[in-house]
Amino acid sequence: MGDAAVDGGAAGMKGFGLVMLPLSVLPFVAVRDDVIREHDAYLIARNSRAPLGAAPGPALPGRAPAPPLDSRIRPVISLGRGANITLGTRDGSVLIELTRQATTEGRRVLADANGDGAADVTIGAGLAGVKIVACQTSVAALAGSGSGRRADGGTTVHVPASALGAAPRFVVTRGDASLATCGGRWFAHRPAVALPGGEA
Amino acid sequence: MTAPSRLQHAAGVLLKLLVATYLLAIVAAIVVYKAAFIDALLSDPFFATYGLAVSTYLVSRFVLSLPYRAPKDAGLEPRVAIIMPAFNEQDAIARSLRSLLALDYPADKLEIVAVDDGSTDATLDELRTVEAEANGRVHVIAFAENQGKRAAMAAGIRATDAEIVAFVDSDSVVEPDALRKLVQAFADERVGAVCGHADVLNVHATWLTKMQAVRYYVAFRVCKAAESVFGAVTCCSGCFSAYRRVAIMPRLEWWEHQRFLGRPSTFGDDRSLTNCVLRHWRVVYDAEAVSHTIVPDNFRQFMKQQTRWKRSWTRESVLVARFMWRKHPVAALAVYVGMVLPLLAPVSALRALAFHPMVAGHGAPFLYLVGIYSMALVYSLYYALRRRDYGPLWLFGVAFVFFYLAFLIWQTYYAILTARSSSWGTRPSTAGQPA
Repeated sequence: MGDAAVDGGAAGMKGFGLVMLPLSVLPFVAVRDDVIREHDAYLIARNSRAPLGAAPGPALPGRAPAPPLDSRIRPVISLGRGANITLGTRDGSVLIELTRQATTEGRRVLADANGDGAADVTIGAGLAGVKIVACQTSVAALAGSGSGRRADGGTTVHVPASALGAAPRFVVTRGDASLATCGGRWFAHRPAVALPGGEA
Repeated sequence: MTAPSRLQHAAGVLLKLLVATYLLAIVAAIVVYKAAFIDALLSDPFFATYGLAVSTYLVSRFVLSLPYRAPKDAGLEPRVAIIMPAFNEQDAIARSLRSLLALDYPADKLEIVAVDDGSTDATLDELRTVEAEANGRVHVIAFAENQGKRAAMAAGIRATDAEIVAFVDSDSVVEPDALRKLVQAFADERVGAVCGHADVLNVHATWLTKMQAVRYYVAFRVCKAAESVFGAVTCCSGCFSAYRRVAIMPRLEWWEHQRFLGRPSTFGDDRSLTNCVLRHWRVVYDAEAVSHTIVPDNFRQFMKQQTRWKRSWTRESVLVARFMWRKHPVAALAVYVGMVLPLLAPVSALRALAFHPMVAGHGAPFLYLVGIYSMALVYSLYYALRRRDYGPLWLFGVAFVFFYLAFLIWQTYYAILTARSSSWGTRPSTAGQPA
């Protein structure tokens, strides 16, 4: 018995084999974005994010007071779900960064500045851009805010430290980045983060 | 060649080029993917090392099989005895035996010994019929009661003094030129055993046999070929293989009465006999010495066969581990890695398919499944590439890998836990061991 006997068969079956050859690529196409996201997460895990152009410092320990603004240490605190903040930037702002995956999924960072359990500022980062909402704070307090795109497709947002109070609490949601709502009381069990000059 | 046939030929060549390019692209993608995550070896050393080892092991089989060449025709025509043990094989035995009589080999140098292992059906009658037709070329040994396959094989070996002893399963048929080709490897005096190639005879019976057709092809043409490059084939299939008499006689008694954890070893006789030879000799594979064998066509029989194979793999791994380190380092490494990976496979699968999505709450299993899929495609496209005509059978190779993931990787632990068992799990038999 030779190959022909094994591989032969109805023309229909041969046609099926031919059609399936290009179709077999589809699973690879389907997971392409997942692979990119996984690699982003891998890179982030490997190199904890730092302010653009600066080397990252060690993570801030639990409830320790924040270092002064002129500190050479620039603590990076992970907020989870692909977002982190960096304290002690030179202009006195808080740098909030979202990974490419978090940006793609349009996640929002909610900040409770005064400890009342409701969001005072929300920052939504999506592919269309960044939306910062002043909920219980004045728009003027956010005047110095700015945003940019990271080289890897993630998002960076600078928010004046003064708008976030001395010990804000943060929540990262899966919500639509374009939402202008501030509702929800998700801060109950969130630890406060001490900003420069403040204490958690 | 007519114009339409020229066109058909050109289309076939183009298609094969396409398949080859696709295959290379997948292999390249696997390499790039692994390289992109190489630092995970530090952050997640256990699973990252496992993943890298699996990919390297599988790809290495293909790479190592590339320099493989079938033994050259050295004009050898040694005296050969073909031993065919049989137990309750009334439907297939006559056809198998007649395929031996049709072999292109000098009749005065070929002895055929059929051993009926106490069959309870008409197997012995079938053997006697063929014996009568064969003008003395077939010698039948009949056991009064079932004694087991090894006893039958050993009786066959003792009944002859031929320089080369070949075995053919009673449900296998061999190509007319297969024996002549098989013995050429013995021109190398270091070779103690040769494994022939086995294809699936009942390919088109069921989806299960189609899957096995691809598996058999890759297992022989890739895995055994890769081992053969180093003269270290670890299992000469019972379908069709040959041994140098002087290589097996010193261990024959031990092999016939081999025990494992206090129980008689009643299956895996081919792997066990190969190990006896491999210890001191080279064992090679001949891709051109082709046999065709009947494989299980239903799920229940297939699972029982796989359980037996895994049990014998467990038992023989313990033995082969003791001397394999003396062989070529690449061959030895492959054998030791090949022993460890199946033990870890269920852990890795559970982690990717159950723990991550359900417990840790992240890491959908799609990436893992696509990783498996990419390996399945490598195997299957290789099959499609190597066959003369492009057909749809390679798709069953892809299906088989997922079938393996669903059923067979979990069998390893069960086989290890029941490795002492002597049961074939097929049919009643005094020795628990149908031939």
